[in-house]
Amino acid sequence: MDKTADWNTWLAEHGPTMLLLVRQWVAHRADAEDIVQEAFVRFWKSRHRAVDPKAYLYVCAKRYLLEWLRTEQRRGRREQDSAIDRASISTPLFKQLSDREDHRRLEISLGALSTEQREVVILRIWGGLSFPQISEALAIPLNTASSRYRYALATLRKNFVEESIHE
Amino acid sequence: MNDPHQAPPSSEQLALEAQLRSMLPIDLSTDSQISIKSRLERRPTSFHHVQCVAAIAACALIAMSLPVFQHARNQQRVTRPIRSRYSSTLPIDVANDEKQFAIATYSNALAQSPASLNAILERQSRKAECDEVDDSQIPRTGDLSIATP
Repeated sequence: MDKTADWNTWLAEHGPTMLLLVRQWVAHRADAEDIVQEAFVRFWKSRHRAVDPKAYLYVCAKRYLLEWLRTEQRRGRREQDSAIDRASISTPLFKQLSDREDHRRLEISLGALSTEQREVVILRIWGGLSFPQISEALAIPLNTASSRYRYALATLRKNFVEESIHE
Repeated sequence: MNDPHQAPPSSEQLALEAQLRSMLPIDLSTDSQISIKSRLERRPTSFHHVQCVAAIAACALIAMSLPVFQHARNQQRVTRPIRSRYSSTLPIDVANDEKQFAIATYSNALAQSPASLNAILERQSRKAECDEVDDSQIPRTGDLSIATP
């Protein structure tokens, strides 16, 4: 069995989504990439223990993200770096495939959601996870996961339509 | 198994989801991918070394518990106390320290009690006294010359 191809496939399929998820909490792209690296390596070394590897991958990502945030909080670096953070927030989260105005408006609408709602949307839309998997990955009840998604889509739709009307 | 929490999506919702899905997240940088690759493909040599050392230590422990080693240890246990007991209690400044040392040496070698060895030595010395030849009975050179006509 070609193990290298195996982890390459996993990384190609989930790496961008992991990065997108982590960047909801960490503004610096370099920091977010470090977190994704560490989380992915941890996942790969312990994936045999997982019942659902796909959900477990995002469990690893969220767990290491929280660990990293706690460490950063202790260092007190976040306040110092806030000025830099504001600058790096402008780094795009999505590929600029076209100049379509719809994409820009959707990105703004997505940014207007709460972080918790965005997490669920990211795992559902880009991660392709089912609600039980999202519930496991984010350590939240199943009903909470599905209701967050419902509210998020309703907000997105509303904001998207409103933006369209204003323009 | 169907997801019970997924209500049948409306066409509007499906269109919105499709639009969102069409916005592809930014890929990981090449540096990150290389770093992951090197970390996953690195040989865990240090862990192997630890395993080797642990295996050798385990083998040594097992070997020490083998009967042949047990026998050697038991032999040491029998002889060591006798040797140490008499070597440590030997009087240094007594007149017959040589005799005491001899007793201790014999006792050590034969693994017998010093009291019984002492008795043996006493018996031997008495026997030696009895067997001792009287000097007066031994003919001297001068006497011989006188006796000879």
